[in-house]
Amino acid sequence: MNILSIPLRYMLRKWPKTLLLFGVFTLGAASVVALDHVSSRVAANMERQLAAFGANILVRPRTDTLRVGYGGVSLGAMQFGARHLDEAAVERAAATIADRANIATVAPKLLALAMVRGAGGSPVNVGLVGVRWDRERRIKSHWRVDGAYPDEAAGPAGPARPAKLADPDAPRGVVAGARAAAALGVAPGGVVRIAGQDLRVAGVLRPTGGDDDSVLLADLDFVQRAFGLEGKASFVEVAALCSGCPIDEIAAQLAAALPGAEVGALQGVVRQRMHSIGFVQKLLLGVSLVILLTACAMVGLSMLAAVNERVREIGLLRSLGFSRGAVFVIFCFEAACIGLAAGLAGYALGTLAGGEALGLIDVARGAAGEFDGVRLAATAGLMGLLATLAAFAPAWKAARTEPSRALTAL
Amino acid sequence: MLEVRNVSKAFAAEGTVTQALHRINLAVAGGDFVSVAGPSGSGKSTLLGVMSTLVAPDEGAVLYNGENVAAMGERGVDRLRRRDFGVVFQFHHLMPTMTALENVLLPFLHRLRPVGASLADRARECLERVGLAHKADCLPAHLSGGEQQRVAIARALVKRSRILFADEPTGSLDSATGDRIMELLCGLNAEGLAVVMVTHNEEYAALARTRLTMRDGMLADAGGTCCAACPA
Ligand SMILES: Nc1ncnc2c1ncn2[C@@H]1O[C@H](COP(=O)(O)OP(=O)(O)O)[C@@H](O)[C@H]1O
Ligand SMILES: [Mg+2]
Repeated sequence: MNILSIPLRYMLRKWPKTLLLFGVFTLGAASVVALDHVSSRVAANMERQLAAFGANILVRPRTDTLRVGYGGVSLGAMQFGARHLDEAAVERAAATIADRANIATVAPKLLALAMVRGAGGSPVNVGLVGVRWDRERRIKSHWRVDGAYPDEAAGPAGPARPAKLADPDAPRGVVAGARAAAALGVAPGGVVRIAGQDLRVAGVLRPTGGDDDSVLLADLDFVQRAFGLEGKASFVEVAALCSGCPIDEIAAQLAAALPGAEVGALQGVVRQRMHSIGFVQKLLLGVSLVILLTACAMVGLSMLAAVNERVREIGLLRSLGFSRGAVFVIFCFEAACIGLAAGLAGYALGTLAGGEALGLIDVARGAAGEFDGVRLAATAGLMGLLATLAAFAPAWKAARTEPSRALTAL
Repeated sequence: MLEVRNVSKAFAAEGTVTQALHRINLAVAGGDFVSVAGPSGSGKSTLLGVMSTLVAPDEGAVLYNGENVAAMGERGVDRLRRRDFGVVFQFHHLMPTMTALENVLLPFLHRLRPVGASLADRARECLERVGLAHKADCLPAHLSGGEQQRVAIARALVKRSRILFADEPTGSLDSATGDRIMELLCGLNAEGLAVVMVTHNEEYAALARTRLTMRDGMLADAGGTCCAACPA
């Protein structure tokens, strides 16, 4: 036994009161944790959805153009330099720059002109774009497809999976732009022949009004192999997100890491994105602060009531030679214990509740149950500290209690 | 051992000033047994408070072993209360959330260093001394008034106080229980503990070696010293 036994015995013997205070503080902690959980998830989700507006950095091979003309007659321009990027080099650059955490998606593409035979029989010249399906779809979430994407299980109207799929290297089929599909006379489930291989048309894009309408989209690996350009990309679209740092900086970092490439930033979109994410986070932070302040006020008031109620006990302690500091410690420790315990319970409760809430608003389903030891400790520590601070004024009042208060008969 | 010099104390409450103590002088020798009698409101509790450092006097000084208590500083006074002075109040004043044994140990619970087994043993001995060894684990609510008072006495004993201040220790007890408390106090006094006791009870007051009577904040007369009145 030591001085801490006094508040511990008190909390134990007055457990209904302790429990009530613990409950209030736990609820406060839980709401803040849940809000934080939801806020970070919603922000991440928004980032993902906003990324759908498209890439904001374009990486192209550096080309020097020489205007060719003679005697005032322009003969056009001649291009020098590499025509392709090294896919792995761009990946590496994106993964190593200082702001790498802000890079959401790296989507390499290889362009080629291919003779494609569709349902009509005679081959047609069509633009073929090799893509990494998972990444492409992340930045082109405005795409709507009849049929399915080659990388997903066959959709409702999708074709049967080809037996060849067992071979991991086999091309998984193509998606045709609306105009390209019309020109080739193919529909979802049809077959096109490219570079001597039959590929299933997994889906047809609804008209986008853009370049995508007139091309065929296929696996990047397939296009690279078919045209002998293994590991190459014509250009790479990068979706970067950052709060606080300008997109130009990320572009500059990429440019520095890729001497052979030209990196361009598309400004406006990102700024808008980060602004709306920041707004949501600020709002939730504000609500959290209000909740925490309320919880602290409740702890403070409750401690104040306890001090007034226990004034003769405090007087007794003082008359037994307990210093003011000792009395102060007794009350602060009581609050700290409740805060700490409430922090632990609140973290557990808040994480669960946050997961449930996310499920309800249909964002990031199944995101609950991510217990993080560091965050748990931080929450408990913070709540302990807050409760202790809230108890400072009442504890100070207790410490100033005159020992003569023990003498007065009630 | 303890000397009160020219002490005055006034309380101002609701506009009226009450002179609770008026130029009090008295001395308590080591091992003395002092009783303070007097009508209600005559300043007995205030005097006891001043003597035990719990009430600061407006004027005058309290000297313990020749040293002015007011000059000891807060830490010095805390140490005095912790070590040399024991107090027993009329209304028991135990910590209601702690057992009898824990209440006896209370004087040692003022710091982080845990109470050792030897002190716990000593606390048990003190409880035994007041005849409550079997109630060591009872909460105050489960003890009778007399038992609570005895726990409070054991609490003063455990730290080997030099002076015990008791404010109407029998005031709220029936006479049989009161007799037992007085027996206990007399026994402790016989072992060398100085006792200053406020009491209304003439019989109990007569047991003291030095008898004081208060009236309107003043000591009425020194009373007769009644030597060896405590039954041996
Ligand atoms: N804390 C206080 N505030 C105001 N008046 C007090 C206080 N303590 C005592 N008094 C007054 O001082 C006088 C003496 O009180 P007290 O010492 O308790 O007398 P006794 O113990 O002899 O009954 C009484 O009139 C009482 O009302
Ligand atoms: Mg009194």
